[in-house]
This record gives sequence, structure tokens and C-alpha cells, in this order.
Amino acid sequence: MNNKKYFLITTILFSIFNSTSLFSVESKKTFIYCSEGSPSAFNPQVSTDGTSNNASTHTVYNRLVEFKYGTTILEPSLASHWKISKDKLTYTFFLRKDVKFHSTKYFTPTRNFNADDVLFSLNRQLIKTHPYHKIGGGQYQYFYGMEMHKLIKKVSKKSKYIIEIKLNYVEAPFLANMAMSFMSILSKEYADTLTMNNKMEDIDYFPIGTGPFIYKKYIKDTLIRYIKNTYYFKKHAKVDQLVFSITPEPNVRFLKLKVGECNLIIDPSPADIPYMKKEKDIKLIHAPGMNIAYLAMNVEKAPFNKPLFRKAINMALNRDTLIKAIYHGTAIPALYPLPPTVWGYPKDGVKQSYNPIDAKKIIDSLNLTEKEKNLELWTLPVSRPYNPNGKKMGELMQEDFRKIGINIKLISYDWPTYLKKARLGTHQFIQLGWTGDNGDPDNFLAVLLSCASIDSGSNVARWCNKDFDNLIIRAKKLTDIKTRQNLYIKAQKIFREELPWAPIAHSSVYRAMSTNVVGYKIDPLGGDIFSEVDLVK
Amino acid sequence: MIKYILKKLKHLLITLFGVSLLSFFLLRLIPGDPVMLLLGERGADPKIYKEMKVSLGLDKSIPVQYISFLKKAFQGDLGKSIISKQSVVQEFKDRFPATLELSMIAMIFALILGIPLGVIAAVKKNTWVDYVISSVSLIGYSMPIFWWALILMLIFSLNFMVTPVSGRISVLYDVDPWSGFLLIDTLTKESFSQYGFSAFWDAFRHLILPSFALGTIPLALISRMTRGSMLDVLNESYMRTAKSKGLSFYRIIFIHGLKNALIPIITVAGLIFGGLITGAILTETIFSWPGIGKWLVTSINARDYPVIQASTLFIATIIVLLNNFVDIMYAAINPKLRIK
Repeated sequence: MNNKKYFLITTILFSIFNSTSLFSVESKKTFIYCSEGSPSAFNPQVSTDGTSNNASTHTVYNRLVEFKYGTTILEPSLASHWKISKDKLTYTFFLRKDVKFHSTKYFTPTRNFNADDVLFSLNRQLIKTHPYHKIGGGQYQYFYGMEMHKLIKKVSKKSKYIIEIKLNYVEAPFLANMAMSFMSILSKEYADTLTMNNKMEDIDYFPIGTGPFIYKKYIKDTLIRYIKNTYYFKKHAKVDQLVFSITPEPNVRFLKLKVGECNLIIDPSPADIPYMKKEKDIKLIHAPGMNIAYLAMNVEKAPFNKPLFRKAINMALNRDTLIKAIYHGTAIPALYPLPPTVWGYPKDGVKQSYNPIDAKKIIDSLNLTEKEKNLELWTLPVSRPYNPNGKKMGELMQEDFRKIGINIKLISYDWPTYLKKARLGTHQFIQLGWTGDNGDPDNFLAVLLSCASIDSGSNVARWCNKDFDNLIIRAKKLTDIKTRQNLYIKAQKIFREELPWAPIAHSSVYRAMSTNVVGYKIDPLGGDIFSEVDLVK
Repeated sequence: MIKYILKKLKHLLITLFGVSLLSFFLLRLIPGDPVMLLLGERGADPKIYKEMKVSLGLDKSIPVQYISFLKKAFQGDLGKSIISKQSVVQEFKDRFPATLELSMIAMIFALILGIPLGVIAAVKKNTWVDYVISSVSLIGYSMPIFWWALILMLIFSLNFMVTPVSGRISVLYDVDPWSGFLLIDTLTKESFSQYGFSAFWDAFRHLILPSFALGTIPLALISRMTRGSMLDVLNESYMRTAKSKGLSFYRIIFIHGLKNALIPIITVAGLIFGGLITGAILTETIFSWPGIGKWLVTSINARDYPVIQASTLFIATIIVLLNNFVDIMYAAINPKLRIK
């Protein structure tokens, strides 16, 4: 009798806890994206992190030109078309007339999008005396990092729907830069309303855009809620509601996906990927990432100033082992600074051979001093998309180099110190990497290997080759893709001869989702875009 | 008594000043430049780097920065986060209710289970019941929270699917924060009319695992303390008198025994509660609980100086206030302490 009673009570309790019908919530079609963190702002002009980019760039905003979904091909967006002058110094954008800004609890627009909004969005970043320039600290890291302040001479309104941008010098990637997140278009009318109400700082936190989703609510460290923009000027979103459920731990994201609390999760842990593959209710997709992990050698110091030494280092690295051990097979070996997903990549590239015996012969022939055989290698102190475990990678490299008679001492600092010291050039070997911003080869080669980028601190090999530099500067000034491609290929051949880095790997980007998710594509630029996703039964 | 409270408040101010001084200068000893962290791999030309330092107020000398921080703090302005650019006080206000709600439920769980277990262990001293309770308490006390929380999640959320994995409430419920306590906010007129009891139930289900994980160590502590305290009381002469008067077992143990044994336990419980509020860092991280513990960890990683300074101050204030509250309560019970 007693057993029956306990069984009954247990069953009832279990049903209550597990019930969905008893206390169910009536919901619209809601897509739940489990993201990794809280955004620092809802305006890509003032933020550079991927988390903030996902929360605003493709949900709330649009740009004059945009990358076609899932590619790096440019297509018109808020500008229906554009014209480039013969000297390539003047770009004229013709704007769409049918675009409405979002209507929310905190702002109701009275007019459609026009040239004033473009002027406002660009000049806020460009002109230091602009009333909104100092709002939010006046730091536009992306805009200044891409040197747009040097490039853009003037932005002017030619008519209500025509904008002209004059450049100081020719730069081929300019249109690609215009499609980047920091070129998102904000509402001037909204900014004016905020100025009147003395709430100017709200512009970066309560967004008004033209994008496929309207911002509804943000609860810090918990969620961001958006609703579908039913006035969207492009194809409407297929889900009624989009929710970012903020879940920093990757293993917790996996569990949430498994029990149906997420529809799609960002960055699954490489260690979880084999388990995800076995789950029949989980779909795992991947694509080559637009990134590179590399081991830079500071060519200002001996023995790294000897090209033969650098060649031997490249030959001594067992990249296949690194990919297996560090990336769990989710990466491909790198041959050049550019990843294969970027159009300037040399297609005929030959894999760097792993040959410790010949590498040792080279090292022996160089007659290195004892000091030159005992070197320091800085290991990446944080997990980055291009390198999930710098320390372990360092240990494997240490073993590879030991075989050729080079003794390595592994060193690491906390992340900011690491970056600061790297910028000053105090290192010998250093692990670092890069994720592309706009799909243009210049965004890799100029940022990481140009002579000018030694000062800004992003060329950590401190390698300055005039031939290489001239080629990438020339390519930057041309607009013909084919010619540019050839120049970038030539430049990378110089890189392969000189080898200021040992390129290591291009890690793949993974996304895991429930099997009922359709229409999602991995963005080669690293963002998560939901304008075309849907949930099917 | 008022004099005593004023004296305690004076101590509080001195402690807070000390904490602010220590946290400010220790923080500057941690290597890492917040500007470099913001710039990442990209780097920046020295001019922009300098401009960023100026805009964050990091170009001035450390003592000047500290004086400016103190001046503002006295006016109630603890600065803005370097990362979110939001007022630190506002950020704290947004997160504190989540931590408080979790800590309170964890504490209730620890008391409700811990006290009876301690009493049973004391009454059944040196029997297998006592050994089992004592061993489980010891295991509970020594369990690494990180591991324990994941195990709980695997068992209850993944295998039995009876509790949600993480967060405070399902994202399908759009509940407006009013008090910040979801168990209350889900019962407001607006929320109730939309969702009935289902939102409250969902919020409650989300609290089960985190409060269980967070309450495990206090539960073990309280049960062990109760056992010890009860054993002392059971040997008192008034207990023998109660027994000889022929009172029922229940009256002897719970009215005469437990009532007296609870005094030190309540004191300890006050201190444990302070620890729970400020020490939920791991639990909050694993269960994606948007409280102050997780906020502090994120800020330390980002070298978000204003947030670390302010949160250290907030946490110190809570601990000192709770300690003082316990002292004042003691003084209220025992007048000798006031004279001292």
C-alpha cells in the first residue's frame, strides 16, 4: 500500500515538474539564439567585439551597401546603386526612398530614411566637432582603425536621396569598408529627438535602425529580445521574435541546445563537437573561417633576421599534429597569410613541408651562438577563435624545435600585457592571429605585414619588405579585382620566400542548431545573421 | 544602544575607506592595460592610444585618479563601466536582486534541511544515522561547486529533464522587472494577466538547481553546527530537568533543546548569508545567472576598473553591514557587550 502511495506521489510530482501542458506559454514563432556574452552597446560604430556586432549590425541596422548573405560579394542595400568617378576619388550613392526607421516605445519616426541620416552616421565618427562625436566617449575604434578618417575627405548631401563621398586618396577596398558594421546607418531624426530630451547617450543603447528586427528589450547578462520589422524594405524575417539568450559557458550552451532551450548556439567547444555529431536532433555545420593563426618571428632580432633560420623554423613545425591536437581536426594548415576564403589567395600554393631533418641541417649550417639557440616563445594567454589553446600549442612547438636543436622557453603574460609588449617588439617568437573584417586581402596583408603597421603594433614580426609593401600599396589603389588579385598573389610569394611568420592554421567556424532550423548560413565575416532563418516542424 | 550603533557605523566608514584604498591600489598592481584590451590584435597608432587613455581618465597619476574617484564617490557617483559605458551604480542595481533572490532561496533550503538533519544526527549520536549524515555533510562541504553544479545539471536537466539548464526564466516569458525578484515580478498584475501562474512556476523551476548547488556548502555547515550545538545543549542540566518532568520527546528536543541550540547557529547563518551573496561567483557563472558574482568576474577579465572598484565596495559594505547587524543583535541580547 505504502509503495503504491509513494509511487503515486512521485509520479504526480514528476509530472508537475516536467509539465509543459499544465503551465505552458502561448508563443509566437520565436527563434532562440544562445549567444556568448552581453553586448557592450547597440551601435556598431562604438563597439568592435563580435558579441555587440551580432546584437545590432544585422538585426537592427543596414548599411548603404552590404555583403550578400553568406558571402563577401557586395550588393546594394540602403543605396539602390552608386557611381564611382573616373579618378576613383568620388563615390556617389543613390539612396532608396521606401525605407522606414523602426517605431518603438521610445521613438516614432515621422519621415522615411534619407541623406540626412547618412550624413549624420558618417559625420558623427568623422568630424570631431560633431555634436554626437563625444557622446559615449568619442572612441570609434573601427572607423579609426580602418583609417577612414584619413581616407574620407568630405561627405556631402547632393539631394534628399543622393550622397557624395570624396576621398583623399584612391582605395580599392572602400566599398567593402562601407559594408562593414561601423558604417551602419542611424536615424538623424531620432538623434535630434534625443538631443531635445537631453538623452543623447541613449543613441548607443536604445537603437533605432532600418533592419529586419526591432529592438524590444535587453536584460543585462540575460537576454536581448527583438520583434520582426513588418515594414522592412527587404524580404521580411521568417520568425516573429528573435531572442538572444546570453549563455557564456560553451558546455552549458550545448546542454541548452540538447534540451531544446536554444535553437542555435554560437561557438561550440571543439571538445564537444564529436558528441554533437552523434546527436540525431542536432545539426552541425561548419565553414572555413576567415582567420589565421601564426607564429611570428621578430625579424629585428637575431637569429630571426636570417631568412634561412626562419625557413628552418617553418620546416620544423608539424602543422598536422597541431591541427589534430589543438583544433581537434577543425582547421586546415595555413600556407599564406590570407585564408583560402579571401579572393587574393594563391590557388597554386604548395603545402609547407614538414622536414625536421633538413631543418636541422640548415640550423647547423648557420653556426648559431648558444644564445641564439635558446629562445623565448610567447604563448597566447587566451582562447581566440583562431587558436583555442596557445599554451598547449606552445608545448608542441617546443618539442618540434627541440628536434632541430633550438631550445624554447615558453612565456606568457595576461592578455593586455601580452598585446602591449608585442606592440613594443620585446618578443622573439610570438603566437598571434587575426580574423578578417571585410573580406578584402588588404585587411590581412596591410594590417599584419605592412611597414606602416609596425608602429600601430599589429605587425608583430616587425618585417618591412619594400617590394611587398609596394605591391600591396599599388593593389589598394586599383579597383580592378583581377589586377589586384595578381598583385596580392605576387606579394604573398614574397612572403613565402621571406617567411617572417610560420603560418599555422585557419580554423573552421562551427555552429550547432536543432534540426528544425532552416535558412541559416555561416557568415564568412564571422557574424550571425538571422534575417532568413526559420523554424520548421 | 544608539551610541553603540553609531560607533559601529563609524567603524563601517573606516572599513570602507580602507577597502576603497586597498582595492584601488591593488587593482593597479594587476598587470594589464585596459586600453590594450579594448584594442585587441588590431593595435592603434600612438596618438589614438593616447587619446583613448585620456578619455578613460587613465593618463593621470594613480594618486590623482584615486582622489578623483573618492571625490565622485562621496557624491554618489562611482563612475561608468569602461566596457558598457553605463553607470556602475545602475549596473549593480540591475544585478543585485538576482543574486539576493538566489542567495535567499539557497539559504532557506540550507536552513530547512540543515537544522533537522543536525538535530537528528545529535539525537542519534554515534549510530549509523549520525555517521551517514555527518559523512554526507563532509562530502557536501568538500564538494567543488563547479563540478557539483555540472553534475546536477547533467542529472536533472539533461537526463530527467525536470529542471531548466540555466538562466532565471524561460526566454518565452517577457516579464518586466519591477522589483528585480522574478518570483515577485511574475505575480504582478501585468505578468499574471498574461501568463497566469506559468511564469512564476517557470521562474521557480529555474531557481531549483542553482539554489541547490549554492546551498550545499551552507547546508553541510549548518547541519554540522546544529549537531555540535545540540550535543552541547543535550548535556545541559535543564534538559535533564525537562526529561525528569516527563515532558514529551518533541517538547524536550525542539522547545527546550533546539531553541537554545539555535542561538550560535543563527549568528553563523547571518555570516554564511553574507558569504552567499558575495560568493555566488561560480554558481552564477555555470547557471548563467545574471548576478553580481558573474558581473565581478567579467569585469576583472576586462580590467574594467570602475566596475571592480565599485563592486568591491558594494560587496565589502554588504559583508560589514551583515557583521555589524549580527554584532548589534548580539548586543541587544547581551547588554554586557554594549558596555565593552
